[in-house]
Amino acid sequence: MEWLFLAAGFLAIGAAFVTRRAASGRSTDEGALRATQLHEYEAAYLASGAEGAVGAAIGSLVYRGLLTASPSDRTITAASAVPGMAPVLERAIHAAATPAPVRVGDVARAVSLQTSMLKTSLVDRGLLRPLADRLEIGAFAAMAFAITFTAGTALATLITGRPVGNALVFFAVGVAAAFVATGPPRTAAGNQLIKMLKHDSEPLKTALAHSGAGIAAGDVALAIGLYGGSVLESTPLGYLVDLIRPRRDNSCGACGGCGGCGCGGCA
Amino acid sequence: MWRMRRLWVRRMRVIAERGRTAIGAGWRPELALVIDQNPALDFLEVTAENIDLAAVPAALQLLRDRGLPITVHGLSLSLGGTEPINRGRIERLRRLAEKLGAPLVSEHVAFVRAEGVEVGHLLPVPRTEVAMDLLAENVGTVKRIIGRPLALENIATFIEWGDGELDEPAFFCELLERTDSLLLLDVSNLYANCRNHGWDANAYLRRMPLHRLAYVHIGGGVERHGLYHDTHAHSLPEGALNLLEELCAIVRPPAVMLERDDEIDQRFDLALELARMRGAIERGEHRRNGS
Repeated sequence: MEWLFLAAGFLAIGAAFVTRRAASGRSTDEGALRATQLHEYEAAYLASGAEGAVGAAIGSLVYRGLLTASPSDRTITAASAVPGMAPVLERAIHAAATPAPVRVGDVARAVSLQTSMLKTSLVDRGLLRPLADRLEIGAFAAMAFAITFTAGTALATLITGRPVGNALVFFAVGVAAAFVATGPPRTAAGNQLIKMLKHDSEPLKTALAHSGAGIAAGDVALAIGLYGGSVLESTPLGYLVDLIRPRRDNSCGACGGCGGCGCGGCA
Repeated sequence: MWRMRRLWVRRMRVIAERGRTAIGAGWRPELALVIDQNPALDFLEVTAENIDLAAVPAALQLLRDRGLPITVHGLSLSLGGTEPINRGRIERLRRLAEKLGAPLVSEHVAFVRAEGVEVGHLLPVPRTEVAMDLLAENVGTVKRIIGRPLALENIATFIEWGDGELDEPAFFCELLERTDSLLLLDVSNLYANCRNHGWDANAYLRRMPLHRLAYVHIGGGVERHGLYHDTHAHSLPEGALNLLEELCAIVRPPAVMLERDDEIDQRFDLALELARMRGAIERGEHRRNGS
């Protein structure tokens, strides 16, 4: 009758997922979202976290000839002066690459203040979730797991007349996992906005992939932010793809499983 | 025939609602962004051979979802060929037209292959009664399969067959009448032929079956080695714009479309080219209205 304990375990996992999803909120009115004005780098941060925003800014600066990039040693160097009206993130990246080349991996750290400003702006607008909310969602999910698993194993014990035994280990691991997973970094509105932006930016993606007409530096930034560096693959900026692609091996741990993993921002 | 033309005109909504010639552009991936950002466009045309039926670009689908009419333009049916027309190609055209909800399909009065050899270029059909019979049969086959209005386009040529029994306007009049098809008039091709063969453009325009006019193509070109090439890669020449003006002084075309296929980079200004096109249309309209 081991399957009864297994069933209790699966039921508890399901309950944790359902609770997490329910606590994450529902979608927002599309009309209201369409009125939301996001800067390219805010969109990039929302779509792919701090590394996404930094990659987008590097791509835009290289596109305008304000930075040069060396994919072989993964460095960027300031090429010419950045306009005073440029966004703060661009100016910070440019400053970090002046006068000597800087490794792209170090740029993200050098501009962490500017990326955290992007995050704050997105949290304030209800598009990213503050850490407290994510922890709260994790706690709800852990509780749902604990209650369901306890009830399930108790029932299984009553039916089989056998002690709980190893189920206690599964219980502890399950509760911890549900809590640590926390809530997703993006709110339902944030998810919906990204979906809308990606949908509306298909013409940009197509034109960029064919090095077409009418592409401004801001468009390059937006495309990299939304679709990742691979959007540059068939363009003259194709050499940037590996340079600005977030490194999945170590970036996730830096911010609790988000930035660079395509789940949108760290909180 | 008039029912078909009315269908096309209805789909051009703008024409019916605002009483003006609709403005369009050929959709190319390189133009996806500028087309998306240009509210002045009333319709689009896609080249069938450039679209993967299984993966219609999302950017194009987006425009279709917004209600922009999209016509389908074929290059490779080889309507004027002596070989049986390839049903697979017609079927593909039909499926694409269906997928995009195209109000109209168009092809060239030309042949592109013979004895299995693909020429890779639109070649002129001898303007003889024999060729006319072949063309009419092929056009009839295409119309039956695609089940939508078909418009036939005049091409630009460097050579003329020596045994022509009819000139081009007479040939088109008879062909369109026999097949109950519409006219896609390419004024740039006409401009090229006038330059290269010394045709009289004004006389040509006045003799073409303009009552069957579905829409107009205009594109850029360049002169090389004494011949004018309709390249679709250069800005609109004044000569072609003057022909467009001349046409609009005779009749109000339901729609006019810019063709640009190459040299589409950051320097290309779609809005400017459309404005030049619009200017020529308006000048022609003023002349037609006597103002």
